[in-house]
Amino acid sequence: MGVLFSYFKSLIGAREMRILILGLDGAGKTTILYRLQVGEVVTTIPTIGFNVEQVTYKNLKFQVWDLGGQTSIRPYWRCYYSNTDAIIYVVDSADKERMGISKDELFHMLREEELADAILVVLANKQDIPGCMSLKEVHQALGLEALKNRTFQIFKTSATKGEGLDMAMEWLANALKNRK
Amino acid sequence: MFASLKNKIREETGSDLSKLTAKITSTTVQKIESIRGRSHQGSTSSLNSIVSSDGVREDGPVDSEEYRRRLAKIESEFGRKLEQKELEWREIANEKNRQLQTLEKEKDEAYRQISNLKDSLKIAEEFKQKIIEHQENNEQIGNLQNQELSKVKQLVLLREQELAEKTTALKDANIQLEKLRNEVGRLRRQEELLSDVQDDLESLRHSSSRDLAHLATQLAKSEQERKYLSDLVVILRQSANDSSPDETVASERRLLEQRLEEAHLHLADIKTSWSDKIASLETQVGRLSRQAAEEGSERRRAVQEKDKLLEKVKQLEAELECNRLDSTNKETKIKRLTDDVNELSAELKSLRSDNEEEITFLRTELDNAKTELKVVRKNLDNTESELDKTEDERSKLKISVDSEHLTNASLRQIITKLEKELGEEKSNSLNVQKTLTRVTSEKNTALLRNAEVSQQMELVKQNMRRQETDMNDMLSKLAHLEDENNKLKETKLIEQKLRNSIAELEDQVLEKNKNIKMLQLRLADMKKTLQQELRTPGNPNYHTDLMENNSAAVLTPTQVSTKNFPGMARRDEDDVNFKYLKHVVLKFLTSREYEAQHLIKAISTLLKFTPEEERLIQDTLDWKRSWFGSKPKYWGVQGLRAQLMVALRLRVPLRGVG
Repeated sequence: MGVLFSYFKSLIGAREMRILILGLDGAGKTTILYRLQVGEVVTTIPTIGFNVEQVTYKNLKFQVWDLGGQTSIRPYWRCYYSNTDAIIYVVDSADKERMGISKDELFHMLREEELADAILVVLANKQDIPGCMSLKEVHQALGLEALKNRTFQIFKTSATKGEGLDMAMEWLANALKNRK
Repeated sequence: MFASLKNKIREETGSDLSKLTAKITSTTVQKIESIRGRSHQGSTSSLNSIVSSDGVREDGPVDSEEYRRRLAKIESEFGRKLEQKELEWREIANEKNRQLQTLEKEKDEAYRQISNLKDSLKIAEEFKQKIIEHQENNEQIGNLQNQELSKVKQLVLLREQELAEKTTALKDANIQLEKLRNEVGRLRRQEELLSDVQDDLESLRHSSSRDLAHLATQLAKSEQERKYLSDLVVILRQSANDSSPDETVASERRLLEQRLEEAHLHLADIKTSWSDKIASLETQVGRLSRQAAEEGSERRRAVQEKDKLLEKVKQLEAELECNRLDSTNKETKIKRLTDDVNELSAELKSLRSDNEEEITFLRTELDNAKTELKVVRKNLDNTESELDKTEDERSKLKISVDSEHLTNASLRQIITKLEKELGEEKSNSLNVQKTLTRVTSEKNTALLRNAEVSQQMELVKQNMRRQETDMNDMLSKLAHLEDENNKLKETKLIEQKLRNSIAELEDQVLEKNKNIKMLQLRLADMKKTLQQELRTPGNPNYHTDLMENNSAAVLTPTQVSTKNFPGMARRDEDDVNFKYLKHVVLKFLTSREYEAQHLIKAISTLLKFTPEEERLIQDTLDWKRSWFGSKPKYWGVQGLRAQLMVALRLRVPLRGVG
């Protein structure tokens, strides 16, 4: 049965890449998801639960999961970790106060066994807000220099203006292709 | 005069008379004594009369006039004598002063001369120092010149040594040159020998070649002959064969053969002899050629040596030329230097002579100065001795003048005493007048003061009246103000009371707030404890409270009990959790299979499924996706489903609205 299924699946095409979009509440995860899918800015409400969408980028199919980032539902992230190919971790560059919490959450997540092989893309979002932290400052604040044995890259983005997302997705697509 | 004065005094002040008289007697006695001491002209009788006059004065005023006259006479006489003495003494003092002045003038002149002489001495010493400096300079110049001369001499010596070295080198070079020339001559002779030998060799070669040619021609001839003879033999044989064999022919043949053999032998002999000769000649030629080669090489070497030697000779000649030039240059230099040295020595000599002249001149000057100095010193001594003498005289004169002065002074003292007495009398009278005027003035001032005081009194009284009126006004004002003050105090008391009541009320409010906080904290604690109790492992399915009144529908064995907390405030977190659960379940039910597969874990975590239940859902999903196989069986499946469905049916609309 399973063999048959896999056979049919191979006939249909390549497996969809499973990508999780994570980050603290209000970082702009849902906006990024819909910006990637439909290329437009949609008005969002705080996600209690998750959003899942299929995104096609350069003949690669991504199944993108946008998980709610509120404090009380953050523990449920770990329910979605299995079979994850890549994580897009979104950080609010203008939220300097919660940068430490964001860092803790990131490293707590990266300690998980199931995410050992996942590629990490960090998006320093909301770069359009004046007085926000620069890419270098975000890199430093998140302590990304401590990351070893992980394929990762940091990008500065603005989901509302659609800046930097193409570059990040291009890098992610290449990284996923190379990993195969 | 005195008596009138005394009378006056007696009139004015009766008590002072005795004192005054006592004074007068003492002063007069002193005066008389001093006069008696100085001049022996005064008579004792007159003195006695004066003394008695003091005692008798009170007896009668008639005697006093006589005394007065006598006193006046005596005074006038004394005055005249004193004037005469004074004049005399003044003349003497003037003379002495004049002498003193003249002596002082002489002394000044002597001092001036001494200073002049000292100046000349200083000048002479300066001259001396200058001479010494000149001498030192001369010596330094002489030393410098000597040093330069020695340097020049050393240079000259060095040059001469170099020259000597160069000349010896030159000589050596000349000797070598001569040797080389001799060798060249010897080599020339050898060259001649070589050429002779070469000529011989050439001639020998020519002769040998000629001989060889000759021998070759001979050989050719003999071979021709042999050919010819062999031909003959052949012909003869043919003829002998053709014709009948004759004896003659045979003999002839034999003869011919013999000849032939002879000829052959001869030829062989010749050949051998020639070959020997050729060999000997060849050996000779080889030897000669070797000799020639050796000589040629020798000659070449000799030629090379010659060339080298010629070059050397040229070099040496050039060096010689250079050396000559150098030597000439050096000689010229030496000449120049010697000239310089001579010039310098001449200069030195001239300088020395000049210096010596100067020195002698200066010495003579010095001597002159010294002699002058001596003379001056002698003069000085003389003048000093004169000065001493004059000073002695002067001192003597001074002593005499002092004594004169002393006498003069004593006389003056007497006069001054008399004048003082007069002054005292005058001052007494003045004092009396002053006291009178003072008393009158005091009286006037007292009257004036009295008037002023009365005026002031009136002013003060007026002021008093004014102040009284002011005081009345002020008192009225004060009363008014006191009334106001009382009113204010009353209002203040009221305010105080109000404030106290406010503070009390505030305290009450604070206490109430505290109570409220305490109650809130307790409430929160209660909530927490309730939550903890709900989430304890004993109650694994903490969402049972979702079902509240529907305990009848619950079928799962995991659900031990249902709990109902009516009226309990649900916290936001729970609300969020519930919303999350709702969302996930909704998604699970509506999503694609592939996505649903990923949601199993989330749902099982949220609903705290056991691993078996989780596996069951997994298997069910797999079964749904596949086209074959049977539905996985689990005894609690129906119950679970029912539970889920019930939960969703009941709670979703409820909570969704809320």
